[in-house]
Amino acid sequence: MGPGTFNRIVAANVIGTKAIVLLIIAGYIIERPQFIDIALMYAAIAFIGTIIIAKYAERGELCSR
Amino acid sequence: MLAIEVISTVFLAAGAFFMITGTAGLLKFPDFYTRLHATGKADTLGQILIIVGCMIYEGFSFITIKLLLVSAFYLLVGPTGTHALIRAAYVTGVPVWKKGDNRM
Repeated sequence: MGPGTFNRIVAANVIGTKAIVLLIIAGYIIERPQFIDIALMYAAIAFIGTIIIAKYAERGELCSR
Repeated sequence: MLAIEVISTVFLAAGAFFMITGTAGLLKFPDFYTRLHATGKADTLGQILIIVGCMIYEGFSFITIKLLLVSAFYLLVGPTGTHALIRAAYVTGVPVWKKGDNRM
């Protein structure tokens, strides 16, 4: 998806969103409500990844002293 | 029972429509900022509509509260991540598309 760093981050973000919804729908289809917990954790991990990669691309470092 | 199924189906279809629209915008728009303009809002709305449809189908139980937690969490973090990403791109100097330019 697209040239450059940020387009790829957007692609990962969109894939994360779709994965959350697909996990919830799949949990309903095969009748396992534990998938909702996995969806919640996936949302948290995708958010942390997006924020950290955006910060790293903006400043060039992760720990500002 | 039938009314609950109809209402939840309407919510799921509306959510799927918004997610398909957002993905089409991601694939067709010419610029980074316009792509995030398409996906940042449409995906959030579509996901929340789908989760609300699941909540209506479920009724009131512990799973409903967990679904509400997922929905509220994404309502909080989705626009925050989009904003951080756009700010990082604008500070870094990603070029802005103007009318007549090629697709970037």
